Amino acid sequence: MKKLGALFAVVIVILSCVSASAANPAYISANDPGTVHDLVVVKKPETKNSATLKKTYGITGTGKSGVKVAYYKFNGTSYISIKDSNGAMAQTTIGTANVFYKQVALSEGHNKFAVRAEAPNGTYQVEYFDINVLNQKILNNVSGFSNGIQSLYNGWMN
Amino acid sequence: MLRERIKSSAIIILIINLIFLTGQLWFDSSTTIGADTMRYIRTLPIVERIFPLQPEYSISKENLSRPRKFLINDGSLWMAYYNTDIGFSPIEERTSEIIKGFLSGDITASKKIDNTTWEAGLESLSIYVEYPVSFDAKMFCLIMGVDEDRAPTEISSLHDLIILPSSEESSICILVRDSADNDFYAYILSDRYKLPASDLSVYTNNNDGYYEPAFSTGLHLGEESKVSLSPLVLFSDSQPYTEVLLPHNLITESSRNRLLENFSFNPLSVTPYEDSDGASNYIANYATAKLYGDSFFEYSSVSDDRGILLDESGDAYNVLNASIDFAEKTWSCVSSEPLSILVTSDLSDYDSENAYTFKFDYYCNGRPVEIVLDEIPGRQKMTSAIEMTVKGGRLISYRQYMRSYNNVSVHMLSDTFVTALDDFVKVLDKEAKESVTINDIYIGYLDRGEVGEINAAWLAKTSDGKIYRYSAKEGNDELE
Repeated sequence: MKKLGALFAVVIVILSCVSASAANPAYISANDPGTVHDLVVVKKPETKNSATLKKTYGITGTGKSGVKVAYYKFNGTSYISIKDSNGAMAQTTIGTANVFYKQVALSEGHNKFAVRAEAPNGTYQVEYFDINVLNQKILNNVSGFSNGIQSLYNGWMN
Repeated sequence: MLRERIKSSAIIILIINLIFLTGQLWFDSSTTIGADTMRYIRTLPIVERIFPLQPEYSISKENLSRPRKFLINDGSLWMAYYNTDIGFSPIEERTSEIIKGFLSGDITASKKIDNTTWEAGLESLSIYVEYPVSFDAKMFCLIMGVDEDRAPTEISSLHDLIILPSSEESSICILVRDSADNDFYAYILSDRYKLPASDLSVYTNNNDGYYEPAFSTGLHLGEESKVSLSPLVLFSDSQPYTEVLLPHNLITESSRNRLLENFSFNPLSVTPYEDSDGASNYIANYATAKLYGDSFFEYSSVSDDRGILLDESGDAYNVLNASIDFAEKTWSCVSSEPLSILVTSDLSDYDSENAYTFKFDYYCNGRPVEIVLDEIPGRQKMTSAIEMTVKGGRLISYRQYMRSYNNVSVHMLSDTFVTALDDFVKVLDKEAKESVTINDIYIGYLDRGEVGEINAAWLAKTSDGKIYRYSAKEGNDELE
């Protein structure tokens, strides 16, 4: 009976530790479906597959206050958490503004990212997305497009 | 004979040494006695006549036209430069020439545009130029050294503009927002002005920081909150190193007399009386001067026509210049350091009675020092370093919080932009009765007149003119 009581106490302690440290893991698999889908909404990128000319990119989103958001980058096998400037896992807790924002560096070509949001009750949501960085040649061609606002004035410029 | 020569040589060396050391003591402007002596000698009429004083302005009249920030979009990233950042000057030189061209009327076409086109301009390859305050268009021309008669007449007031680069097919295009009525205009410059798109990436090569305007983040705060964000609030992910400041009060026994003389009081003949608030009051020449402790000075004339004459023309531009000159002169009474200030009151909205009120704030390490001194008996609330009112060319009121700041150490900013934003939203949602917009979030200092070190913190400026501070260490404050 004493052994059972001790075992029960140990289990309680372990469980309480786990729940107290409810936080995002250091890495996640490439196809983690999560347990819920309503903790956060990724606002940028707007779609699962997007293209950009930017070399530094701000991942943004909205979510419920108190939800912890961590950011991951795919390394070929799994998604590894992105580190902040102190070398710690980049993780933020959504506050009163209900937003999250993280700048990430992009390399040319495909960049696979994931955002994992975990609620204080342990439920979590994972969002995967790819950001394709266009190369310099395309950038030069697209410069005309970016600069294309001037075409608005072509009618009255010439 | 030899002994006599040695004696004479020793005496000559000693005399030379004596002259050298005395000269150092009296004339070295880094010492207190030296600075006083030099100031006295420089103000002697004969010296002034032979060597007319060339004022050295830390904020020269030309510097009035300095933008507050540039936001450069080179297609691959956004980069912001504040006016004290390394790398700001080359962009300023380049854009100044273009803006002068626009103000000179060197344009081939113009058109009224809508807000959507303005925002499209920001999304394009562009340089967004923001000035610290709103300028009356004519005054802005004069400050930029351009003939005011040639400027586009439809712009009455200017606070920001967007420069779109030139290409092989098109010239530089400038989008301007009239800050008085929020109308937008586009101008095509003549092809003598060039700004190839490829040059923009030269300015964004500094990767020390990356800023992203709110409109590009896809985030909107106003959906469930009374608080919304201006599209041009810059998101940042960095926690920069910032200097910790130690303030010093500047009014001493000797500087007090110089200060009084500057305001036409004779400190030898005017006897101050101490009021119940502990302030020293001087009354003479139809004016009063008050000194609170060793840091606050206030002057006011008893009537509009008895103030100190600064400028006879009554022209806004001349009055502004004369006011800055006077502020510089006043500062030189209490400090030998250059005065580092920036105009913080709009220069576009003037009293019909030819009265101008100017406000200036101190800048330290490229960051603004927001001063907030609460109202106490006998002294009104102070929310700028210097506040002065000029009417009919005469200074009728002048208030200054006379402090300088030394760097004592460097700390990493402990809070992130988003943490600060969370707190601003929390405070504003609680306080604001109506919807409110956060116009700017930036790093600065708050000086509440207390003793001790001052840390940099995130500050937010709202549409109702208030400033809020957030610091996890020191709590938050509503400043104005």
